[in-house]
Amino acid sequence: MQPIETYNIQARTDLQAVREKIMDNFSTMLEGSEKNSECYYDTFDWRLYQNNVVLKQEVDRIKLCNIDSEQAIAARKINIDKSSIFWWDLPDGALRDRLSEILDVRALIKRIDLVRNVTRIRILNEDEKTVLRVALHELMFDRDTPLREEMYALTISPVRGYAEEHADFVSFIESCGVAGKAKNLFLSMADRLQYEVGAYSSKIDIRLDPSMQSDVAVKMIIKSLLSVMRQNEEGIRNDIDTEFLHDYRVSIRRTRSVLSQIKGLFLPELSSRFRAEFKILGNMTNRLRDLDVYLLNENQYKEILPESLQNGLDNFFKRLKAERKKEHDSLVKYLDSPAYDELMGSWQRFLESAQPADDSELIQAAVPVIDLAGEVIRHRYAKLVKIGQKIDYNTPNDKLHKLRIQCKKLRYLLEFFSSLFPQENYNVLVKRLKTIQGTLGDFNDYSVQQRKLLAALKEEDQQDDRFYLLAAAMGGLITHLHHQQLRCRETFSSIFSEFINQETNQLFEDIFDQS
Amino acid sequence: MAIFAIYSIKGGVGKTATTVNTAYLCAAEGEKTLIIDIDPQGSASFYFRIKAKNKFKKKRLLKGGKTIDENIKGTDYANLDLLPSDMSFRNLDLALNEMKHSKRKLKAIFEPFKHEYQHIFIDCPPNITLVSENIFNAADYILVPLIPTTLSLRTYEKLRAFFKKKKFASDKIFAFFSMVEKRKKLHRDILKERLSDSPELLQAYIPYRAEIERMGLSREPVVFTYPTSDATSAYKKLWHEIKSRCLE
Repeated sequence: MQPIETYNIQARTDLQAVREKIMDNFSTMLEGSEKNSECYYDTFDWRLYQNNVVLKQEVDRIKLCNIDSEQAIAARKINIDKSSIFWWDLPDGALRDRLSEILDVRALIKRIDLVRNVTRIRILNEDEKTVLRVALHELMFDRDTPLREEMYALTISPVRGYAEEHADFVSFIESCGVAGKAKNLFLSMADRLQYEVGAYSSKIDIRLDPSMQSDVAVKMIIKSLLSVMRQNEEGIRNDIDTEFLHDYRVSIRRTRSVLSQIKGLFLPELSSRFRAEFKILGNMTNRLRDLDVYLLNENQYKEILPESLQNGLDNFFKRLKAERKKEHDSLVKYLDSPAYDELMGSWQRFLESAQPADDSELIQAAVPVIDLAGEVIRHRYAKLVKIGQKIDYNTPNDKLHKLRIQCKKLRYLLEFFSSLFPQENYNVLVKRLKTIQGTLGDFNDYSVQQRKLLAALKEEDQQDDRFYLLAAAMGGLITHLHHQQLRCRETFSSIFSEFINQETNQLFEDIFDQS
Repeated sequence: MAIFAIYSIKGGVGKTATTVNTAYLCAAEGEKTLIIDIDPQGSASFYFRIKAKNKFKKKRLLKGGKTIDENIKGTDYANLDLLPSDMSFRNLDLALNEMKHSKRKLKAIFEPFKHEYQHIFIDCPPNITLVSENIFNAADYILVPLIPTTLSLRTYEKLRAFFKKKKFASDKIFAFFSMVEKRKKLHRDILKERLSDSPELLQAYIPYRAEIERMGLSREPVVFTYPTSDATSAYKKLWHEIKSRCLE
């Protein structure tokens, strides 16, 4: 399907003028005008946009369309009329399936709310055959969007097989004093509403200069982590989806990891104070995240169990939901408190302050960041190899846990300093590390879930007449998780020895060797 | 995905009107639909006001691939495209004759369109020729309009005999009555007898209507121009029955 061409138009009078010029110069057929309300939805991190699609609520149906051709991919007769919604809130069908692939656990948020007045004109050839379609749009942004504004645009939809007529028409329009070409109507509207479409990412993406002083470079990294935290606060407050808290927590962990892994950049007392503060902040979110994970797993847990036991979990999940509400309220209360303000304020001030005059303790501060990065990464890898070499089939679980932590620390460092090193080998390395982290992560999840389910069961009221059903269901789950864990364990040694081998060592040497 | 060939040994039986209107109904349901007009008279192309490029010749059709792709044109209706006919198609037979695998050539050429289109409607030239044999191979279903006259029924029997002789699957053939004039006794009698005695015939039929004849002037599908006419409701019934017999 060919893309639609979009032109911005300055004012309503210009739109009128272009229309008259079209009518004067071409054989046309006026299809008519219509005025409708529309809303566009996307996730906080613009997943639909990243997949080249838009989701539009029209009067009585939602449509998933290609962003450039506006061709519908899936549609459903339904009116959402909500500020946010998950794919699983939609009825079964192609639309829901397609959205589930793209969205995962992220909620769709109402992004653009407008009234569109559109006039459609067909351009005809000498046989009165339509060779292309033009639409003149007056867009009035509405209620929930940040700016109450109007904008004007003209779009040209090609008809297959009439490329010459299309090219002629496009050059005609470009000579008509339009305000400029836009990539597509969605981006043009988003631009007008001052959205930075696609800008948010929880991934670290900072360009560092190798010769930069280490303290400056590391502050840049930490500032970007802080920015991710701050961007997610609102979503946590409004409880839109679980990813806001997740990204927020990852940024806390990364921040703590920088502070603990890289010494000699900042005054030790400041460094350890903030490490402690962020540890407390992280802990405050632990229970809420646990509950989120439980609740996200609800269906999966039920699917593991035979039908006869599935109901056993109903009350359990009901209680978790109630507990989650309390936990969420108390976290929001903290985020709104002066104490949190103070923490973030002092952290921000620290990151923006000049380094102290007496910097005898800051032995690494002036070192070029590429040297520091190489050193800390090599150090971490050496540690990982040391622990990893002792791993075999009989290694106790807590050793595997340690290994997991080392892998995570290394992964963070690789992410922070990615921009300093040649990408090709670096990506191979990160990919290998990811594989092993995947297995270790699963292994850990299975073990944590078993422990937590058992602990949760102990908290339940044993006098309840449905306790037996819950206990049986929990038993079933824990057994299942245990088997999964064993399976991970079996594959682990071989996966790990594939990671720590000559080839990986060589990669590390190639990338990080001081020479 | 299905390929429907609309075919009749005899001309003037409402073949092209069937192609145009059923394909339109199919596209209107949101299915990407392609009409391939290989009737040298090019009536389907005419109804959609589409002309072939001058350069588009039979040899190029037989090359397939990009050349065909470039010649497909969008109609004025959503989801409905058309590969226009070209006068030179009248010589398609001669060209096919010179080629290897001459009976399966068109099937191979149409293959790539299966990815882009959910349904394809082929408006076929009349007569039994190498081109029709190609089409019988390529199509999943052959839709055959029949005027309720003795002569027309005889050609239908001939077609079935031909299928049998050439070992084409005769259950691909779905015939239906077309241009039915209820005021004529013969039409009434044949309809009554055949619709109860021949289960392979489609029950829906298309009446003779002036609106359908006027398609040559309006150059639009009758179901689009006269959405509430009997002709439209007949085509809708026909399409509905085709779907339930072929696609479900």
